[in-house]
Amino acid sequence: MSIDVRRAIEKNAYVTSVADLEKRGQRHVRVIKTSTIRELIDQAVENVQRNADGPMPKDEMVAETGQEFQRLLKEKQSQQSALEETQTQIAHYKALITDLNSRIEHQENEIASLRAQATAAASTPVVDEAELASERKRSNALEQEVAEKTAQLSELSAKASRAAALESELATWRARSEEASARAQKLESERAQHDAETSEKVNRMNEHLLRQERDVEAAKEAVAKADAYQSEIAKLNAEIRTMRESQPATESLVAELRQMREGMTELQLRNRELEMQAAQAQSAPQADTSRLEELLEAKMSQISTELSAKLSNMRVAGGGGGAVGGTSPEDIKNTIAAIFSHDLDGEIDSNLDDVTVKEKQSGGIAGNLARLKNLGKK
Amino acid sequence: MSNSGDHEAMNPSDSAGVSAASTETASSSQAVALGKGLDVGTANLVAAVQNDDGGITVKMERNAFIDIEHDVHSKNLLTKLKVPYVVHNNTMVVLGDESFQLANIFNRTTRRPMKDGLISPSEADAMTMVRLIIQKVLGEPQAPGEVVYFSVPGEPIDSEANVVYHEGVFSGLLTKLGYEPRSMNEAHAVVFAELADQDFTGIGISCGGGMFNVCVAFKSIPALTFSTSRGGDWIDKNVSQVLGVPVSKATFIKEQSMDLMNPTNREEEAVSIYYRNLINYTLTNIKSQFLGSSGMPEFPAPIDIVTSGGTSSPNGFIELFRDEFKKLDFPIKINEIRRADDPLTSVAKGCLVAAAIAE
Repeated sequence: MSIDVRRAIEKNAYVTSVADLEKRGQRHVRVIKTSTIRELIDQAVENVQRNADGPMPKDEMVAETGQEFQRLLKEKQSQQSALEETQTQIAHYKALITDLNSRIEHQENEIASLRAQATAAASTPVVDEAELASERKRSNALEQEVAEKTAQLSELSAKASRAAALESELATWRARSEEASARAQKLESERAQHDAETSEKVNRMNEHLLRQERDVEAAKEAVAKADAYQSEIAKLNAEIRTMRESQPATESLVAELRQMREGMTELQLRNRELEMQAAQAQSAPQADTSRLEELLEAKMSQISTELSAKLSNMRVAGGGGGAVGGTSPEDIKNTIAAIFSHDLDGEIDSNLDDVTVKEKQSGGIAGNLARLKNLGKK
Repeated sequence: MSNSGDHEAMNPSDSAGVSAASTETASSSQAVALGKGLDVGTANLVAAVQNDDGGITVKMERNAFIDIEHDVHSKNLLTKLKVPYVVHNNTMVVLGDESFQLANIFNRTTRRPMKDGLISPSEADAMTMVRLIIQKVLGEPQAPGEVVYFSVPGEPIDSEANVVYHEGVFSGLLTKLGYEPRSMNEAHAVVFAELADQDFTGIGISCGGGMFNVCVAFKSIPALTFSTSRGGDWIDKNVSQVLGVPVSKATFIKEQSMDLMNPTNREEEAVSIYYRNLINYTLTNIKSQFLGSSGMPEFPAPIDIVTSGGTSSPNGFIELFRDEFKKLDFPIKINEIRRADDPLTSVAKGCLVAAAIAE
């Protein structure tokens, strides 16, 4: 089935006047031949069918054909524009050539006229030598001008053909430039992506390094803490050992203390009882109560003294300071002796006997000694 | 404030003044050779002894160590390289200067038996190392009970530290080594070593690693002694903090041949700043101690200030010191401010003078 394109266009188009278009600001209109439209449609349909893998639904066919038609139309319009531009240029060069030809013709006519005048002048019996020379000079100048114009013409022709060649070359370079620009854009985009990836990697590495540094610091801190804890544990173990060693004495003292406390409680109860009895029997002699209080106070004082003495003995026995922590010169001597008692006696593996220390010679001290002795004598 | 313990911490000038017998015996060659001086410093241990040529021989070792992994390969290598090591409690320990170099190479910090001029409470096990270093620099006694004067710091005015225990420990150690130990204030030792031409009158300052010790002496008798608990280590610690480097590295920068008056880079600039601050701190304290002390003698003539110690070694130290001194209205007239000819050995030399007199 073939489509009557003209009829279809006429059916779907509306008619308007040129004046009306001009009123709407459209001074130029594009014109396309019906045959061209037909060709484009055929081409569009053929392209779609060729690219399709198999039978195609109608809607899809219509849509794709429409798109293909638009693409071909744009291509055609672009070609048309290029053609029009070329035609404009050709027309321009043609007008230039016509103009030059007319000018050449005009010059040639003038030369011919001058030649004719020269011939006529030559046949004239009375020759004005001066006029002849002047005319010759004029003729020569005109001939020279003609030669120059001819040269200019050939130069312009060459320029015209060079312009056409340049135009073509320009088109090629434009295409290449666009291609290069597209390539550059693509590379730029790739580079940006690469930069972003690199930056991300660097950031990740920095973070990793920072994490590692923090880990190392934490590890160092942990080691230091562990050392401190170990030293604390050793100290505590020593204290525990000391406590254990003095445990039997401590236990007996604690039992004694408990007994005393029980005694104290008993005495306090007894005291309260007696106070109550005293309150009830107000008529009883005052001296008895006083005696009882004195006895109680004496007993309490005795218990308190005993407790203090025992607690003091406990501290000494427990190694809480006593002789070791003393600040007297004798105590310090004992402490220092204890420090070196084991340290200096063992065998030590070293190479100290084989190495030499830094050594230097210096001026003597005889002068100092002499002055000091003199000072002592004075 | 003068320091004294129960270990015969005497004024050595006393022995010079009261013992005619010792003065006479000092003329014999045996008596002159006997007696040793020992500078027990936070940074260095220095021993001085008289030699046959009439001069003195000084032996020194850095008071530091570092523990490394104990294996046969390391042991063989250290033996071959003659690097001093000790195997202690199944750990290999490198002693002295080499420990400092190793710490720099491996970016670690050396362990220090002493801190702020005194035995470090956190390095109790280090006494064995100190004993070995002392044995090495001091050697065996030439005769049983040979007198050795060892330096002790003065009572610090800016900390609660007590020198009694420190003094007692070293006294005990030297006794164990067969010596008769006597302690001496280290700034007083500087007076003995450097102010002989001024009749031992003036101000001696020992600029050590852990402390700065000051002694104002008149005719060899100390009128005022004290210490401040800031020294070379304080500079190292602060430089380390501001530059973000290990303390050993900061020490290394400080001990390079830099000029404190003309620092050439950021690190040297930092060292110079803290030096200036430390000197100013010390001078301000000396001034306030002078003004606050009731027993200060009247000096008939301007006196000298002499500095010694490793911390006073860098170029430009004495110029910096003079610079800071000019800023203070000092209560005593000063004739000259100078540095000991050999700052590292001055204290040991002063102790040796005291020991020689005692012998």
